[in-house]
Amino acid sequence: MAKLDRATPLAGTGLERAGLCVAENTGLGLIRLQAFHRRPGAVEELTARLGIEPPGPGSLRSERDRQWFWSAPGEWLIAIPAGTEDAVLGALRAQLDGLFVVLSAITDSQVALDITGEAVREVLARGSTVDFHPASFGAGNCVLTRFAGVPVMLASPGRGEQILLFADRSLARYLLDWFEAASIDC
Amino acid sequence: MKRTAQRLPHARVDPGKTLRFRFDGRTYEGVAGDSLASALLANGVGVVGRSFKLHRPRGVFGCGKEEANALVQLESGGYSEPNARATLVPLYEGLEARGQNAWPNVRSDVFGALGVFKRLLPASFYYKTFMWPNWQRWEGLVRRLAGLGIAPTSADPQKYLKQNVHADVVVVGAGRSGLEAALATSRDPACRVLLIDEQEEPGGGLLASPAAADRSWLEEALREVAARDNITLLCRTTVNGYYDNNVLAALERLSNHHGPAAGGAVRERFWRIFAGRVVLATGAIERPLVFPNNDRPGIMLASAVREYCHRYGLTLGERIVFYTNNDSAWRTALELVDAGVPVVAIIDLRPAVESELRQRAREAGIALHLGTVVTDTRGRSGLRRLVLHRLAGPGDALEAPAGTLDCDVLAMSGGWTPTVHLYSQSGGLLAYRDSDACFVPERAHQAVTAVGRANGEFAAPLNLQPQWLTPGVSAEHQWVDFQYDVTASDIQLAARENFVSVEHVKRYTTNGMSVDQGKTSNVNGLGILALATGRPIPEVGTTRFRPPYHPTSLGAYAGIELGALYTPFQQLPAHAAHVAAGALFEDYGAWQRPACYPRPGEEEEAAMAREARAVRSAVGLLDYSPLGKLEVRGPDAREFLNRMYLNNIRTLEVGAARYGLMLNEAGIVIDDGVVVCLARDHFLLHTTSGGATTIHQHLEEWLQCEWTDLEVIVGNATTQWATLMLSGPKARAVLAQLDGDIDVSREAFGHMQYREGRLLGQPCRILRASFTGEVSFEISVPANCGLSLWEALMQAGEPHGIVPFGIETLMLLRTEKGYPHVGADTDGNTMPQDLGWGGAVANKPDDFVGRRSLSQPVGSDPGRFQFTGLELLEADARTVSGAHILTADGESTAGYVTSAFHSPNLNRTVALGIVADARDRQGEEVTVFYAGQRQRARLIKPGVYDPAGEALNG
Amino acid sequence: MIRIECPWCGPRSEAEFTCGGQSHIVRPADPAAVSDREWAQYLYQRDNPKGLHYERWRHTFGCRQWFNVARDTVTHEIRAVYRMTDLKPAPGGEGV
Repeated sequence: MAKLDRATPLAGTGLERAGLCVAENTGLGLIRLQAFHRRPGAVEELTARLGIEPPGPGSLRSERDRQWFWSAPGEWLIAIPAGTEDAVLGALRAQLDGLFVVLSAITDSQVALDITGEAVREVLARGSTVDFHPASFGAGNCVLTRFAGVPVMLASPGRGEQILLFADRSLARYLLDWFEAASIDC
Repeated sequence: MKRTAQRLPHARVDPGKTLRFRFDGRTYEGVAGDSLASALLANGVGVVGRSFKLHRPRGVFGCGKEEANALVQLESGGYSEPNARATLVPLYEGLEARGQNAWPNVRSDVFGALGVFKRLLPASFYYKTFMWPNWQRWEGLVRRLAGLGIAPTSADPQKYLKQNVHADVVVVGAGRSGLEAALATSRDPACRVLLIDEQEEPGGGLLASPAAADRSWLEEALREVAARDNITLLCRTTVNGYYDNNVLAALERLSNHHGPAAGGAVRERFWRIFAGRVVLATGAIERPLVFPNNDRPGIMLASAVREYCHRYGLTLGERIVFYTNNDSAWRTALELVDAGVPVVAIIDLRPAVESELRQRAREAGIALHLGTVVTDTRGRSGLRRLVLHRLAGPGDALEAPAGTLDCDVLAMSGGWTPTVHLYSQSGGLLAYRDSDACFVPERAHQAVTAVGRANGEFAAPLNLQPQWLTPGVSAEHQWVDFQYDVTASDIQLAARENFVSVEHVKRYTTNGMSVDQGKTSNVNGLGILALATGRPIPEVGTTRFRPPYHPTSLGAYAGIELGALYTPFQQLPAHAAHVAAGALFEDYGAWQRPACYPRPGEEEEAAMAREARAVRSAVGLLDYSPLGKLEVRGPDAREFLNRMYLNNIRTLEVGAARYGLMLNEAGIVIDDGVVVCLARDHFLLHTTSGGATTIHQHLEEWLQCEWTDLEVIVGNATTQWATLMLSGPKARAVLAQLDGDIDVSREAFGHMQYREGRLLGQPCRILRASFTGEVSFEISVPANCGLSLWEALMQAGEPHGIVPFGIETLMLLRTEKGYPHVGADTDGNTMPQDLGWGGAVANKPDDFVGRRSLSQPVGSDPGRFQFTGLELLEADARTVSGAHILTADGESTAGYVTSAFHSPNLNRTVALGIVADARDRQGEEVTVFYAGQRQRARLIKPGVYDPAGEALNG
Repeated sequence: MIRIECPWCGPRSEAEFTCGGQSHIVRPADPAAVSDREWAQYLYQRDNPKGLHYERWRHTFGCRQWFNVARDTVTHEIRAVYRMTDLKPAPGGEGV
């Protein structure tokens, strides 16, 4: 063998029902940016260098081919096209040179699911106590919550009723099994 | 009970659609829209159950959730449901039900004879009787005779779901008041309204009304509700509990009305409702009157007789008599006459009643008996006759006999109890209203209001005169709680025995503790208690209202969290390979990991032995991915880690790796692992497998709460990397075959060293640490390549005899070497000095978390359990983790065996333990005790295989 | 169930959080200099008020941050939420 093969956590398997579809999103690379937010001015410095204002709690923001998701004070998940992690890390490191900021590629540590269907909001409300009504969770919102008992990020990028879910890769099979059992009437 | 040949017109059932069902072995017919109870009544079935203690024949008493007698065993096998109230079971084709607590059936129960022994079986008789020689001799017999339904013994095959929902307004009850509230609040289109009703269809009390105006109002209201997008109507849903922060729990019956024929459809849905504000339109429940033998089949609540007439089209009897203390029963009686029901008399204990009602009753041909009480009833399997007496004055003794009255149905009304359970659960305070003798909502604690009869707003004045029990006659047979056979005499007995608190009386008499939770017995009970203890009712108070309001299937609480989904599970990156290799999986925390890889027909111990021999003689591969990998970075990272670890991190040089211990502030060992310094301000911490999240949280806690100025950022990279442990004398040879840029030769890559580079085209990190005692490479690649790396190593290792090995084998190997495992060989008291680390503490000048606790007196207590090896002295001896090491006098515990395996490499048992003063007692013999057996062992240095560690230099 | 307003994520259910017990416990600046008794008090002595309790909570399933809460132990009413680094609000003071 000359090179290692890459396999995403669900190896492309998913769930298809009349009212709900869960499919693995294998087209994203993920980068985590951590700034030391406890020092006054740190986040402002970061914003100035980046040239864009990263999203606040509960929000996501798209710029160019990157999507930023707020994941903790001073911390963001950045979704980019799969395979471009090295290039983007390099670019960001250059941009933020001198600042105390940690940039890591975390693509492999996450499973990304695209969830669609007319029963999406109802099924999500079976896993978490967050209010998924469109008025409370609409385009541009992202929440970190306890879903099916585990920590998960749920985002509404605004592509119709498609919801994006990020969770630790080790939970991929558990979450798919959960969706299958929880959508038995869909 | 009279059989109904033809339903009355205007009933809400569909007489054209017949449904067949079976009760107690006989087949009957009902119609669509019937409940099981109404169908039984339509067939003239008078006896539907037997009472709890005394097996008295009982008939249908109510019409809904207040039903106290008609408890049936519904269906069978996995669908069996005990104590189902027949009034709440919608009739479906093929329904099967049995009476309970009777043999051979409720009609002719042989245990009916027990009634004779009532005197011997008062409340809490089991504390006073059946004492000799001891209660246990009698317990089995008593339990077989007592009890109502039978618990199912088959698994429930039905499916349940759980659902969360948020709403701005939640209205509980879709009767008139509830519908009005829902329509009013939903005028604002942005307001999300959830309207919930427990019945099969909405309408509440309106469903029992004969008035055409009521029926058309209901139709119009429901049309309007359906038209509004912002109202969600949930029927067949009982709101069961009211919790903090306006959170409600409710149970929806999705397919119960189909019975077992529903097949795989979801049976019930448990709702968790987050409400902005709540409107309780839960109505009120009628109370029975308390008089001798008031429990016979045919004696029912007046409101039930009304509902069976107008909603189900049943007349029930040929001579219906009303017995009451308030005006509402009179209006019901007059309505029934208008519908053609033979009401022959009204008995009212009040001396005077409003003239208009009396006039209309006389015109309707109803005989009136005012100032009269019922003092006895006759008819064992069905009411036949009433015995009457005149009252001298309210609550006074009886004046004179007033003859008897033949009747087959007695409709009684003792007053109304607003349904305030949810209001009280929400923390709301109740007040007692003397005029209506009931508790009403007074002061809300959360955002909730009660409306309609739930708020004590009765359509017309009741003019009620309470009579909690019948004076001048024995209290012995005056029933208060029908379900649990509690009589007025039981409550009086409790008071005499000084159980005067209403909470004590409830539990001593069991009044209000059955399936109906006292919906018709609580207020009567506390009324009798008030009289017995000479206190006003407000002073007696009510028992505490607790959820659930209504029995809830256990399946609904579980939802889908069953079987494999009972708890979240985590899988390894190379999971598919482990499955293909026949791994025996076990749960290690939340991780599913191979314990070992038994070959077909191989037992677990044999597999472990084979794997352990292979690792020491050739090479083994283990999926070590849960090994914690925490990246700690920042200008203050070095200082921070120096404070978190026992070891000196200040002196750790770039590129170096050091094994370290972490303590909590109480000085207890919480983790061990190898710390690698990647750069001056960048460290990679390896934590105990599966402990990554805990230690990550531990580090964050100190950074966020205590040392908030330290500039440190922690990242958890545990699952970003798949980590495989390649271990054994041939490990290097195998690894060297793979294409990469890391020099793995013996000279270039020593023990306890770390390298980064590329392997088979991917970034790679390798740590040469060893938990097996053989040359080991802990190889990490990005997790998505983990499966591929596993396959590559297995392929490269084949000519060398590589085997996959699991966690149990790893534990066996490290026990042979005497390496402690935090959490197995340490407990909640283990301090570093117990593991032999006292010297390391002394060598570190700086403070660290837990340091100060080590010098507390407990840290140097004689008798501390210390880590040691154990050598079993008898030939072929075995022991297990958890066996006790005894004190010299053999009387108590002086330690435990913490790890024990049969070693295939040494051909004997290897064991480790924590034993009192072990470090000073090396060489001593001790006694090991387990499951009644004793054996001798010696305290030795841990690690009997290759004690000099020569293999690591290979 | 308690609903807690995380300073970053907003109101969430209790199940998303971990309670860290009494807050504002001061670690002795020089542990080596304190007596055994003082150290034991720092480790184990905690208030148990019937009423207002100042405690720490972590939003474990959300932003993973620690913050402080002033909660009534009888009614569960949360009277104030403030950051780890903020000063303890006085009882009856603003928002408490």
